[in-house]
Amino acid sequence: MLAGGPFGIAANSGLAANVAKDAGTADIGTPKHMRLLTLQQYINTIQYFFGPDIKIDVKFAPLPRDGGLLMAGASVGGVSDSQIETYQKIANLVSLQVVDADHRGALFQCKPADERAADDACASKFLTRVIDYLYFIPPPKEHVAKMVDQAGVVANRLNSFYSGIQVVLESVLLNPNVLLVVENEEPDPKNPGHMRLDAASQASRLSLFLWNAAPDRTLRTAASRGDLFDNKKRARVVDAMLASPRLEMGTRAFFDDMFGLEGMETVTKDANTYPYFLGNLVSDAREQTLRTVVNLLLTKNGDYRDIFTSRETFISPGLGVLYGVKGLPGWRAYEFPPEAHRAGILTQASFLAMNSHSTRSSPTLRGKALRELILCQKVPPPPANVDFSAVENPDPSLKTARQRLDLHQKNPACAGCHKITDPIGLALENFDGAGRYRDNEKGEKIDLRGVVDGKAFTDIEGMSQAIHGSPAVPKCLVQRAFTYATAGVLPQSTAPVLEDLNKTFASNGYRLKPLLRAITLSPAFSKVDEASAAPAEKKSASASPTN
Amino acid sequence: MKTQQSASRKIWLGKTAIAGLAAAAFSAATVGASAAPPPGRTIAYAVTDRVESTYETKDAKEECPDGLYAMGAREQFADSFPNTEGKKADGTRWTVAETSLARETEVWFPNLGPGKYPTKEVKGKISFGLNLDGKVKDSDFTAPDGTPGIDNQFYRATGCIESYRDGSSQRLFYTEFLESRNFNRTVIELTDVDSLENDDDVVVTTYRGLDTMAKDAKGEFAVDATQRVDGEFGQYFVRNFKAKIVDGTLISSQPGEFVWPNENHTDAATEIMRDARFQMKLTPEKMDGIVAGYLDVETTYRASMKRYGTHQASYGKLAGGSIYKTLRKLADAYPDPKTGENTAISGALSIKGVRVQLVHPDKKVADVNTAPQLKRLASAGE
Repeated sequence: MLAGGPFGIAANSGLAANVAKDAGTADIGTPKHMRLLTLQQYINTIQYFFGPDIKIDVKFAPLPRDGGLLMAGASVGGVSDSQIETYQKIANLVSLQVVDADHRGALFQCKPADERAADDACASKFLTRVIDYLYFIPPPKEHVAKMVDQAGVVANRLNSFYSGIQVVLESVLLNPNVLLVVENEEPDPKNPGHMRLDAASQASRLSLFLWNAAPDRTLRTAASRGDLFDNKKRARVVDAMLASPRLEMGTRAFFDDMFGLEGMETVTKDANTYPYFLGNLVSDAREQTLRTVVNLLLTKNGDYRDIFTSRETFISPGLGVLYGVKGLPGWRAYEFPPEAHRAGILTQASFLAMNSHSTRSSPTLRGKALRELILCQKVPPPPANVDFSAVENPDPSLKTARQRLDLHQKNPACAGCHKITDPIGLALENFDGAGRYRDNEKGEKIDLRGVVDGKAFTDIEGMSQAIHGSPAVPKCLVQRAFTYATAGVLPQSTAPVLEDLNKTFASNGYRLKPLLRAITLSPAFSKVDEASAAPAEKKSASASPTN
Repeated sequence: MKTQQSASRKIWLGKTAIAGLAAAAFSAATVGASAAPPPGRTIAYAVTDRVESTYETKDAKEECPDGLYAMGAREQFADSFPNTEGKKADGTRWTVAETSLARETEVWFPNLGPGKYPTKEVKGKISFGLNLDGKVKDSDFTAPDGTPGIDNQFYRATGCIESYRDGSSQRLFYTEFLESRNFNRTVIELTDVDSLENDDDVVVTTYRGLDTMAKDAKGEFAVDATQRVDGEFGQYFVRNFKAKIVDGTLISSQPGEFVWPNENHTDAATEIMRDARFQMKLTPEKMDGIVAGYLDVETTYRASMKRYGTHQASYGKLAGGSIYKTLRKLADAYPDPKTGENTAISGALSIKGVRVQLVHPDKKVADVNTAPQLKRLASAGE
């Protein structure tokens, strides 16, 4: 549950109007996209409708990261043959579970007159409801009728009503209208000559952003009523979505993407070097960071920047072994004592282990990740002919990473990038490649001195404070959140919108919910960027200014 | 080769050479003790290995010059009831009650009468253990490091029986179940610790833990896994001891009763060790050494029979009725006030442990006769 509720919303209820009225941003739109549903969106959508006990134990093909986000990559990725097979496998598994004896009683609103034969009335009732929910764009009426016919043919051939439904449901789940989110535009009657996302597309954007799932019946109904085109009604819809417990799913998905936590799935550590990196840490460390974020930003309605300094977190038994603290079965809230030197998510196992090698820590990887993920800065890749021997087979007299990396500073080909990454990454050298605390490396005390954005520090706490105070940190979140919301790399034309959002974020104490609200109520969220609008429709819109 | 007795985990036990009374040596994996106090001046270790301390030489030539005991339950049965197609000398058939049940009755209702199959006792002079009575007697052993006065009559009774020796299937089961059955989770907590190297006054408390032992990525017991104290059904195992730490070795300054949980194939049992005392080498991550005292013959015998059915015991040449007579014969402490016969036998257990994060229950528990410990239980919750 979200303990915070719709906090702060009332106090900022004029926000949408303020954003909308801003003459500088009202005409700015964002590109419309066709994108793939992510695995978690698919799971959330299916389980919301059919129930959480529908098991989906399959992986989707990885998405490319674009503009720092997988969500943006969902708009540029393709669908391979093997991915189609995966979709088919999932559709088969889900449809079999839906019609099995354990589920059919709860998921069907009717019983067939004869389970061994077709029953068009019952099939129509069930399939209409399913298609209404699962299809991002409402299909023509005859589509459902066709599905009912097909279910009847199969049912009579197999002498099983539920087998007929299962086969048709499998095809429904494979429909591009379920797996692909296609954003459609239409002329904006309030803004002649401009295009906006149609109601269904706006509902999808809202739901996928805030809930990481397809729109539910309430949202679809509001959209079909035209509520999303009315500023006040739209604000009410958004406020209801922000107050829903489902916001936690959306928040988790966004930060999982922004912080690159899917990288934990491929983390491996050498057992001899890091025996305390237990197998379950791969998932536990990821979960710890997400729980920390949700707790601070949603439950406690905290300042986003505090996630880089807060000692409050959650501990599992596996993490207890790594951190040397008590870990009860399940998860428990925990606050690191000051002497643990863990402050913020950068000192958690997920960031530390993910951005290290299997046998050693890596100030360079950590610094690069921090620059790119948290500060939205771009670190160039290493040159193709880079010589890693100084680090991988170091002079044994060089005991610490700082001593070894000093060699890079002497090589002009390396120094340019390493000056960007290493000072910040070296500040985390008190944590080994698995994320366990240490105060020395090979007996040599670790020197943590560094500089971030001109602020010098001497310890981890100092670095955390430097990150907390960096203006780039909240700006990066705003940029990522808006990119994530609109599912594509932002065109340069959206810079003024981001500036507005930065101000809104700051004026609301860097709290997440007001930012999400500002994004979803901004005109740019629903207005289609001129460059991506279809020429014919633009022309039509221009020719019909009174629509 | 003279080695400390080990079970299946040879990495842990097989390479360790406990020097009897003097001190336990470190295993290669351990690190040195720390002069700094542990966090909260408290440290807890979960027992990961526990076997009878059996001093063994190659082919048992020193301790069992007449060879190991060969008359296990199976051999005794075959000798008592030779294969005559189930018939007695007079031609009538043996009944189950006269054969199998009679044998089982001897196991569960043992007697002290003359036995047909007396066990072989250790004849060697060297044994692991501690000097429990402060005396040096003819019946005592000498520790491998030359320390005299070692009281370990349990070793004398069992050292020539395969079940109690390294590599036996019983040892394998015993070690396996010590890990896999949570009932067996003994946790030893040290409080008021100023230094793991030297501290003249620490409190040792034993608990039963609730949790399965976590393994690290190398398959060894994980340091810092969490153990919850069983504050409800585990109260019986809570005991306090006073001790000191000398050069990294925990040494009891006040003996006490130690109750060991012991669950094996199907049954849970407990073993009581009276006047128990520690000789444990400590590191910030592990402990390694012996706990010696007087094993209550009845609970120890019954726990042993429970953990091995006759079937399993047979593989180690262990016969219940026979070993009971020997244990009672060699018992050297705690005479029965009525009969004057000793009820406990000196012995020693080799112990290893790994540091755990101990979580005490936060609810108040009822007072029983171990009140001091339970007050700690009730107040130490987090």
